[in-house]
Amino acid sequence: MTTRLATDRVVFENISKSYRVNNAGLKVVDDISLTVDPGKFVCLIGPNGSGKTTLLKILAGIEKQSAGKVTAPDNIAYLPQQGSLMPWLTVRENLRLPAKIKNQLDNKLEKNIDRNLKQFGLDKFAGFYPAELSGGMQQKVALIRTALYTPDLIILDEPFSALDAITRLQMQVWLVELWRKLKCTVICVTHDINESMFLADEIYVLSSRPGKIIRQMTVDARRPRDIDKLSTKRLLNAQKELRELLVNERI
Amino acid sequence: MREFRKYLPALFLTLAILIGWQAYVASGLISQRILPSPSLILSALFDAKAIIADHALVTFVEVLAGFIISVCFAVITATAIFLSTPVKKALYPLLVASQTIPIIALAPLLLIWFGFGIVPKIIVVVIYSFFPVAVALVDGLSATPKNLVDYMKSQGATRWQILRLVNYPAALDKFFIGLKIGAVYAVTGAVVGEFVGAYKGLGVYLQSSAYSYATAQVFATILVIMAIAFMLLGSVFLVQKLTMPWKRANNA
Ligand SMILES: Nc1ncnc2c1ncn2[C@@H]1O[C@H](COP(=O)(O)OP(=O)(O)O)[C@@H](O)[C@H]1O
Ligand SMILES: [Mg+2]
Repeated sequence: MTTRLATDRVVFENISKSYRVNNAGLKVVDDISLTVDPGKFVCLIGPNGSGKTTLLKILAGIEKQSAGKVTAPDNIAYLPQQGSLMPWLTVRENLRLPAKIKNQLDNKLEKNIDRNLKQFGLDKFAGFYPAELSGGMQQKVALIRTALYTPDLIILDEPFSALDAITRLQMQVWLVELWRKLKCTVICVTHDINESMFLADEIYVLSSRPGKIIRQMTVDARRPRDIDKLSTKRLLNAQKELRELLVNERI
Repeated sequence: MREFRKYLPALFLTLAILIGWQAYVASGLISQRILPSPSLILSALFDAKAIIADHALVTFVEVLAGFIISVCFAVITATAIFLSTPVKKALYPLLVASQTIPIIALAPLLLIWFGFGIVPKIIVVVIYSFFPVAVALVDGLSATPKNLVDYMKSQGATRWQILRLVNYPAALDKFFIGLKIGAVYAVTGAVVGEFVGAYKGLGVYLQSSAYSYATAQVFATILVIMAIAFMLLGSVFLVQKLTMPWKRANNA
């Protein structure tokens, strides 16, 4: 089991994971160790099928690792790859859901929901169903829900991959603002090298299946970052290196 | 208004068939005893309305009681099958195999066991309508999007909370498909049950009308059976509209 200690650090110690497929073991995560300090923004990047989603599920306590030990904070927010808003709940009901699960519905929460919806310009949509919102607005609601419950750790699985380029840029800026306000740790899987350079303090590159860490990289850019000014020679070189790593892994 | 427009072509076709039918019979090419004209059927319905209503009430009660019992059983069974693999392995094959039993052949047995009253008919209705509802619900529950269940787990939800807050709502779509099929089967079940032996009911009336070559009465009875099926089906549609407001939203 994922041990949820009251520490703010995220630690993977020699994590491996195999699935049983057709009565044989399919190894998807291979001996991954990493430590994320409190308040850091970390991106995982790697080819399809390299076990990124699996790794996040282990961290969120949804899947059990085959070997190794995970340490994570208690209060986590997880956004699955295919979205996490219940289609049958309105925006407001979706925002209430975590409290409902923990039997902690109260007036304070309602006021908090109202304030957040207003702050993010979604107050008119409180009674709307997810299908009535754009993809960007849906992800915004999902992220507001995580913010509402002030998590110590936010786990994001390709949160913006379904969005158009412009919306994605806006959401990236917004996510960084949210993270700085919450002062929490973020672990975010992405496909997009530019996205990871804009978001992350630290980038881990995974190999193709079974996923191993093949590169760790610190993004050397001051915050607040400007997406147009991430073109110092050093950063461009870093991008080039990431690109080459990923291209090699794909073959 | 747009709702109504949707049905205009079907309405026109029905009208055209009725007019053609009426004209065919009026031309004298066929005897009214073999094929009564629509107008004759309507007047037969009107003439026998008291006695038909009397029979219809019995059939209606059988259908409604049977359908409600059947849905309750289906929900319990489907939930058990969904939640427990051993239950699924034990029960599901039996369920499917039970569908090969000719229910008509079962009805005389029920008659011997439970008599000519309303009980054996309700049992036939339950047997007829249970399967489509249960199978549809199992299908729907099993097709719950995994990411939503994952989210619930990450929030520490219990199995029961996941069932109530995610699996059931996710299954509603398919459940209602099953309910619609089940509703129609329920009406068939009641009439079949009555055919085999009953004191009262539209099946009895239909049979005795047929034996005395009162073909117009047979058609009139069929109309009433259809009306009962439509009523039940309509209620299912209505309940679906009320319980799934987010579907209405999707079309907006
Ligand atoms: N529940 C499962 N059972 C069997 N195989 C799985 C399961 N989940 C994922 N896999 C397999 O594990 C591999 C890694 O999947 P995933 O973690 O989703 O990778 P990524 O998110 O990096 O694309 C894939 O080959 C996938 O088919
Ligand atoms: Mg993935």
